Amino acid sequence: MRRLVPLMLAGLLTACSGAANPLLPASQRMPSEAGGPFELVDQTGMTVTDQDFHGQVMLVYFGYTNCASLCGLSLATLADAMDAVDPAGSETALVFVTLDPRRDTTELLAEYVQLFHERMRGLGGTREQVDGAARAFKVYFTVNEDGDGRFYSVDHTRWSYLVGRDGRLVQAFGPGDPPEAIAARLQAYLRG
Amino acid sequence: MVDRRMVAVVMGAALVAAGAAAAADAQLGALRIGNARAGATAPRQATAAAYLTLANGGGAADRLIAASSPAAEQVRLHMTAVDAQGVATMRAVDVLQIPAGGVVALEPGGLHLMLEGLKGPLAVGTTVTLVLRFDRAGEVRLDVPVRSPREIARAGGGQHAH
Repeated sequence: MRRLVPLMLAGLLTACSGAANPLLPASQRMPSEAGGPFELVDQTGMTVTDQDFHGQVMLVYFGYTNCASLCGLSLATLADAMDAVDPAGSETALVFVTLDPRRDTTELLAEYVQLFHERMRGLGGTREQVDGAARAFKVYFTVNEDGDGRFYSVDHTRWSYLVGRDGRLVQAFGPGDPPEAIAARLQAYLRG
Repeated sequence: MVDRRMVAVVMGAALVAAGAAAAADAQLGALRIGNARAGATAPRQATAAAYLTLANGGGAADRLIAASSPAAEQVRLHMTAVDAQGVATMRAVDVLQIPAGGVVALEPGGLHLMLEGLKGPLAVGTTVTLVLRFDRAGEVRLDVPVRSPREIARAGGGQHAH
């Protein structure tokens, strides 16, 4: 029953927004497996791979900086969860991966992650690098091209991931999950 | 939602009003606008989100038909929703209906005002001006406080509290 709570909250969120209630098969809601090899570029311009994070726990979200509402909410929630359990980030990496590397440059990522947490890392790179990371984490997205290519949106799966020390998914969370729920799962994993 | 003529008209009206200060909250005819706040942005960030609550105390429905800000190229009302594959989408909404006696809350992760093409970063502790135009209630100029994204997520509450 506990697993249902985030799903119900996610449904309520959508109901509050006035959209159709997405009563989906569970298989479409949250991946039960994610993670794998990736190579990206961090906010300092350094190339990083999945190997750099092995041995650490990751709280990771895929989005884009022009997604000011949902992505901000998801990243703020992860930052709150991390502060509740491991504020210094001694065992936990707090990671934002952009799905929009064309607009989200290394310089912008460096500024953007600071809005959320001094320990947050912002990963981007080439379109191919980002596509590869998204595939590994089963993140699906569509770039909605518009006329002048400036104010387009990027549809994307909305999960936040708790990734274990082995680089594999421990649990996915939806935007309706409060930081307390993520913090509790992180705490259990770190101390388990 | 872009209406440059309206911006000019509203700014002209503000000059005539000679110092009548805009506030974060407002009563505009039958409409009460409250809990307005905008998310702080990074210097290179092009987009900000703003939220507020619209309560219609009147006997007739009203509609938000235009929004603008001197701080951005354009302001659009956006809806974040989840499609049949669990994918979050963000789409522009042209007109927002506020039913008679109803309350519409713009909240993180749902309806929000998107300030696109920011002319400068929004810093915590400052305000950003929003101009909203309603079909019945008319136009209002709000000085919206800028808060950190984490504060907005904690206080925004829609998805956690309902």
